Amino acid sequence: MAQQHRKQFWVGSLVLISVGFLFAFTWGLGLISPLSSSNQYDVFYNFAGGVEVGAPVRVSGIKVGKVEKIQFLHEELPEPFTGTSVKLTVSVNQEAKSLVKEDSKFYVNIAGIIGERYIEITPGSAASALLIPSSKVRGIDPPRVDQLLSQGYGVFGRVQDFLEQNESTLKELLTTVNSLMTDTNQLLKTVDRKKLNRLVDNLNEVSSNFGALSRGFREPRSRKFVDQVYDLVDRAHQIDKEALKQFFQEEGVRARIF
Amino acid sequence: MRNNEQRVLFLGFEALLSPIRLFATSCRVLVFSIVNIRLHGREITNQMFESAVLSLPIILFSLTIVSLMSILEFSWHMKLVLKQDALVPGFSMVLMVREVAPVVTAMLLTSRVGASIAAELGFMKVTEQLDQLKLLSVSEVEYLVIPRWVGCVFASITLTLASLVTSICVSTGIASRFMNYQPHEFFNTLFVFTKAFDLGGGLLKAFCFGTIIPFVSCVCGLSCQGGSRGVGQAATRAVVQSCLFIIFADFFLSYWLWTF
Repeated sequence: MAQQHRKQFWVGSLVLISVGFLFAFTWGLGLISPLSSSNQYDVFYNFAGGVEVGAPVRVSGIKVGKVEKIQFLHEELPEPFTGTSVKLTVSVNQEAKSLVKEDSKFYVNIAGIIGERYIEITPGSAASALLIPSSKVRGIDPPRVDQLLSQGYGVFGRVQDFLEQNESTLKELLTTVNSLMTDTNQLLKTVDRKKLNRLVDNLNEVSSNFGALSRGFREPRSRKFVDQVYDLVDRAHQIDKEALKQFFQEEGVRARIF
Repeated sequence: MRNNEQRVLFLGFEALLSPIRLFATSCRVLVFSIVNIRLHGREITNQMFESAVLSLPIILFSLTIVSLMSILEFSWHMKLVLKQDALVPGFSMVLMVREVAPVVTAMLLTSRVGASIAAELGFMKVTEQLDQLKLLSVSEVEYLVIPRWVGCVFASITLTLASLVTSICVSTGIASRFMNYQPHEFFNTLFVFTKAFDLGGGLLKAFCFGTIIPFVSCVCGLSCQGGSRGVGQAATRAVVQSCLFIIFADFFLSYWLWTF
């Protein structure tokens, strides 16, 4: 009988230890978290970039939670969630939830040499309010490499078509440019360097003089002069051509008499 | 010659089908026993003790050596290919959970418990104790097979969990001693690639292997013929067939669980 009790004790102990191990594993795998209270947020993406359930959530690069759930959206949502197709429920633990604010951004990032996907939350500004648990947030979609490659492939295809269609023209253009460059080179060799330097100096001087002139025009006195000229031209424009002609004729007669 | 080939083929099919037939009968009897509350609790406890508790030391020792080798091999391969061993904990844990812990535990259980079951039942057969049970109207499936089934499944699952914990402890010790890991650093990266589904799959494998061992061994024991020589052959046959069944089951389960 005692031997039977001993067997029962050992079997019972093994059962308890196994349950303990199972509990520890489920805790380690993140299926249960009995000691931590966390906030959950719903983050909406159009493209989630390969994030999976259980992927880490990091704030300032430190792991603070995980992706709890991923759901496809079958209905069109109102602004600012228009165009989103995936909802990620992410949890953030007690230590970091004070950093998740209304202006925090939710990025999908890649870490490690095998490209592990995770959610990176940028800490919000000090002035911003804390993000309420279960809030809905629009995440920042990661760049779609497949789309970029596809667009790049299209662009390169069009460039190739253009080159093939205008091959003769481009060859001619290149020949002309080459000839021009050769002629210019020869011209520069034949030109007297001193004259060329003087020309450049003169151009510099003209440029500086023109700068001084421009500055002079911006002075108040010059502005006044320019305004007066404008005024004069405006008034002269009002005078009829006939009256002007008559005036000059009469004044001319008078001038001849006196 | 042709007759010999046909005989081998027939024996092969018989070896495959007999455990399945016995399993079907046991399921029916188990349901009947549960409904009528007629389980042999004492015998089940004895089998649990024999299969699980007495197998614990040898299995933990073996898994310690296996996990030690696997962590060092992983480290060497990673350094060879990637020039660093930062991912060793994550990868070794996945391998342990999915394959090494359930399969090595099952193999060791086969060699220890399977052979014992076949020899015990074989001896009972050749000494006509089974006939005496029939005379007493005691079902051999209910009294002999089901307790061994429950005991083996219990042993397989609990020892797989114990093996995992042992491998984690050994790996952490080795990594901090020889690979410049800090223990907490090792623990942090341990579950990077392991998912809950992996643990579930590993435990499902443990359940299946724990079912294969007693049924194959019981069939070998119950079909034993001759004297002590026949008992020895039955024990050998039980270990070989159980190992083959486990390897095939492991392949199919891995394919079904993780390839799709």
